[in-house]
Amino acid sequence: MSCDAPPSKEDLMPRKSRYDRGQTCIKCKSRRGNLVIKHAVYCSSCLPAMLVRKFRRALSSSLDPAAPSRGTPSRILPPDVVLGLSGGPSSSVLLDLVWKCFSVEGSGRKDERRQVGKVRAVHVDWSSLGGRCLVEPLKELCERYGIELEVVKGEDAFDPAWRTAVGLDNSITEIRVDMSSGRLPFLSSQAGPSDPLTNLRAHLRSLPTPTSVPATMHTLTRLLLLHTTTKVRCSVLVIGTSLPRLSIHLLETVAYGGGFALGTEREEIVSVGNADIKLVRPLRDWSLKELGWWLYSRQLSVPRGLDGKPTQELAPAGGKTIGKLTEDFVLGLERDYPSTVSTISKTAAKVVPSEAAAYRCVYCLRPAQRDASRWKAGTAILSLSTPIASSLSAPLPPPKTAPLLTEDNLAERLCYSCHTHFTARGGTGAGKIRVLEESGGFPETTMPLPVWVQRKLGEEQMKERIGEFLLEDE
Amino acid sequence: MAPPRACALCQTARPIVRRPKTGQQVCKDCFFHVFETEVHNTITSASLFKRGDRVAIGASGGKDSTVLAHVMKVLNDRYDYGLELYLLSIDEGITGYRDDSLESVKRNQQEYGLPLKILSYDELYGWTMDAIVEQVGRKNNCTFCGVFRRQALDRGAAALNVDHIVTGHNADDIAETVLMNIMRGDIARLGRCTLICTQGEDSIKRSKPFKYAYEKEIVMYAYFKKLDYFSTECIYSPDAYRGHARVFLKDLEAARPSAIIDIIHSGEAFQVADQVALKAQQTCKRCGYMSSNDLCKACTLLESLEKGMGQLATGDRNRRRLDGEPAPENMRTIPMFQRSTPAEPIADP
Repeated sequence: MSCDAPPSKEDLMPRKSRYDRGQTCIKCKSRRGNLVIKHAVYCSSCLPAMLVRKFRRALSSSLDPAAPSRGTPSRILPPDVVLGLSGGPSSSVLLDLVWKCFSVEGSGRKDERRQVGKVRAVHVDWSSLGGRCLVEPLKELCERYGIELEVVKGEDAFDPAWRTAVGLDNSITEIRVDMSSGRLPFLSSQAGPSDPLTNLRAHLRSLPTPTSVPATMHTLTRLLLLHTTTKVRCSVLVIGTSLPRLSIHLLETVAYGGGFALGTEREEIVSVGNADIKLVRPLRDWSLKELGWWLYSRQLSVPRGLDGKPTQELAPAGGKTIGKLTEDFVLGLERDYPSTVSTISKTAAKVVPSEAAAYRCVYCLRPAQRDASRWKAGTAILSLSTPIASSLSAPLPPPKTAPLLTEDNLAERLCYSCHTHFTARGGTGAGKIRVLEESGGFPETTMPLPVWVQRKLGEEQMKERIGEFLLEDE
Repeated sequence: MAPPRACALCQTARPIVRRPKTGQQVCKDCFFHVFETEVHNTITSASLFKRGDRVAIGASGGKDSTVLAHVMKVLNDRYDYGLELYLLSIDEGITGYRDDSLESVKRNQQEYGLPLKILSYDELYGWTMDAIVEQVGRKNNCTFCGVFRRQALDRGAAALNVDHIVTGHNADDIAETVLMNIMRGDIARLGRCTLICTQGEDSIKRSKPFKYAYEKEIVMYAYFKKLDYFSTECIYSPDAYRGHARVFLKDLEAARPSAIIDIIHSGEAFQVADQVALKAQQTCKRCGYMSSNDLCKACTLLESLEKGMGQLATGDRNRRRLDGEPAPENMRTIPMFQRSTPAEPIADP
């Protein structure tokens, strides 16, 4: 063949079929398509059915992984569920889908309605830190669907009354730690203000980097939702994490050093008090396009607005947090390398922790590795045990990990990422969060802890607790 | 007037740098000491070497390998590791880049008195990177360079009869690779990219003593020690995808410097699930090098170049198309890979 001759059809390789090159719906194969999703064209009649199927499949595989094939009712009792609502686009879609699939009015089939029992909703309100209050619009939205909404305030995490209300041990006193030491020793003195909002602000203000603030609020929100789920005696917490949001959380978790618990970002069972709560994300395979289409086609309102962020008011001035950087990065990837976002989620599903969990982090309740906080200490020398000159003449390799201290401290009971949030310092691009600069009467280095964090009991305290059952010494 | 600050480590001398890794302000002597001792700790805690080992330092003339050569020499003398050190350089054949950087390697060889072996792509594969770029363009040339370099280093090490190659991969490189492998879904590489020491079947051990050393600190070390290194970036376009991950990582580091070490920790804390099928390792039927397919990647790439189809070097569909093309007469192939003495396997951690 001459180089100049135009290629004939026989000379060319057959092209890979790309459905988005046609205009007909790939499902009904008759109507004109309205939306392209992952190179497949759907018409506006077939798309809702496909999305509802996707939602149901994700939910049922999480609720009952051993569920029989389609059409056969699950053998487990339908669990009562709590919907965790932030007020964002995914929350509106989640509410609407739950109503559509599991209510009589939403025309869900009778056998399919049995997938879940009673549905409640919970919203964590952070407006006390300066953000917009979404309680009223969310209440209206939930009323429209006939779903009861419970509101928990962010500062409840530091409220002893809330601790009693959710059934946690109310004999525990308020706990504070000394942030000036990497070991985070508990402080014996309990002096200082103790109203929940002041404690919350002091907690966030004592975090060493702006990055730690949204990450910690994310953890507090998760824990407030989980504890409220146990309070209302439900065993399943459903949240509306979409695919891009899930990928953002996964990359963030890796950047925080939380690779050990990476799988829990997709799905987890958390022991809260005496109950096991399953946290499921049935929108975890939904792209932004699918969410947007559902909102548009169902004419749904979004209480927080389409672009509103729950922690916008806490964005640092003069820098970006790791969370914001990751969000920008993942959304940018979606534009330039569209399949990468789902690849991140799929990759995370293929990895498991490299060892068995040694304990659960007292702060986030996720599985943790033994000596995780000491691992980091072993990668950098922070003090010299001997002067340089003598160490060069008689070299003694320093220990890989810092020696164990006997004092009661928080560091040894945290997972790696929580420890990092509490101790890692900011860099040149960290910025400052202005709304948290007010001290509220707390010393800079004192951090109050949420009410679910318990101090390990000493022998004397244990004896005191069981004193009435002990018989006198012989 | 505020009193002048003292070094956070010795508490006496005037600090001259803020350590990127810890944020501490330290004096020059303390910086050198902790940098070297941290590398020593990395080496000893992973038991990388044993007395009498013959170790080749992968030397490109860039900052990482120049600092590595210097630090390995210093530590070998200071702590009496008992290692026989060699410099091993690969000449990719990039005019105006590698020829200049190899001059730095030669000067370092003179200074440290270490034997140097230079192995070229031209000698091994019959192709220089300049010729490869001429055929494939700038888009995928990093694939060729990376694959060819890995095998060339192993072959150079085999020629030197060494037990171990150490490379200048630093903490930033490893964190970047963890991110890239997650984003690309490369499970096999994700599972091994944070290992400090790797060894393929019948190949030589490879280690990264700078696994926990920040790139910025390596540059600081080279600067204050006035080391002679070549600092120009490769003239062929960098891997665009890796570029994305690199920029992201630098942003993360600016927000919180510990992010680099935290990402490495994440990579060490997970492993590939048992139910995920990974390709079994075998040896290449053409050159005997380790491979997960019948032909190793270097042989496949070389074949694509020899057939004049270098642009089709990646992807399964392209591979089938490549297989369909007849091989040219006198097609160059890579010589059989042979080691003079088998390497000892890595002990289980």
